[in-house]
Amino acid sequence: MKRPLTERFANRCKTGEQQTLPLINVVFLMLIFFMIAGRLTATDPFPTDPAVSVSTKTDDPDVAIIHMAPDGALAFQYDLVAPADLLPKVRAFLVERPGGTLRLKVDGRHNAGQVLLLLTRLRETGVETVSLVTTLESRQ
Amino acid sequence: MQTLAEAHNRKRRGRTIGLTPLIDVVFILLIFFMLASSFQKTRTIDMTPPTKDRAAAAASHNRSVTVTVLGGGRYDVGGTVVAVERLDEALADTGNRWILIRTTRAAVVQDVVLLLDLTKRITPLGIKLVPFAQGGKQ
Repeated sequence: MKRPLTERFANRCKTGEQQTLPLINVVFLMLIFFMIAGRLTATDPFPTDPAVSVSTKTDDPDVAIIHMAPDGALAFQYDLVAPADLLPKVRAFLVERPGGTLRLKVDGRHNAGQVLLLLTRLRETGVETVSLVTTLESRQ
Repeated sequence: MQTLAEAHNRKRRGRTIGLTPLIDVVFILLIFFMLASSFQKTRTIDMTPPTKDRAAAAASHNRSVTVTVLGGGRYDVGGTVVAVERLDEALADTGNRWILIRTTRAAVVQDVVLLLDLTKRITPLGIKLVPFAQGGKQ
């Protein structure tokens, strides 16, 4: 059934603000989605695609994070550090937070030998366990 | 002539909340959350860093089997080279022994993580990472 002319005319005469209401609804829903589903994290100093693993262990909150770039560059707690400065910073962290754990984030395609060398150096500073960051599924 | 109170009431009745500033704020919040949010679910796998303590390494050698990560999806399990598809079978055959993990220059982290996943499931004793010798034969 055709709508009366007055009704169609009334719809056409909606104010600008009324016309934007559906847009606002969608934007609000998107905002709520990103606030609930997303997780705010600091940006990695190097782009990394961690190795895929079946491990389901989640992150320990009391951790310090080390990033390693494919060219060997290092970052501690999201700040770039020279290789010689890493171990003193790790020692200071362990003194400040006894029992704190270290997390290592490297790319899955990174040379394993370089990572083992870093782990060996960390062991010499008294680090017993390092948590390697993995994902359940690859981004590629 | 209208009184001051009437003028104030009329002014209040005519005032509505403008939608435009609200939309501006909501858009800015949306852009912030879209850029700052991460949806990648990360997990961790525990690794015990290798030690250069030769005495400890020698003691564990008696009850251990060495697995060398050759890279390209190939592993050397106690002298037998196997592809990644046969790795779990080869590891299961090693029995109740420590597994020493070595790497070569061609090995990548993903190869080691795959091996760690399998060994953690198979061996009850545990695994040890062998230090990578810089400039060595490895």
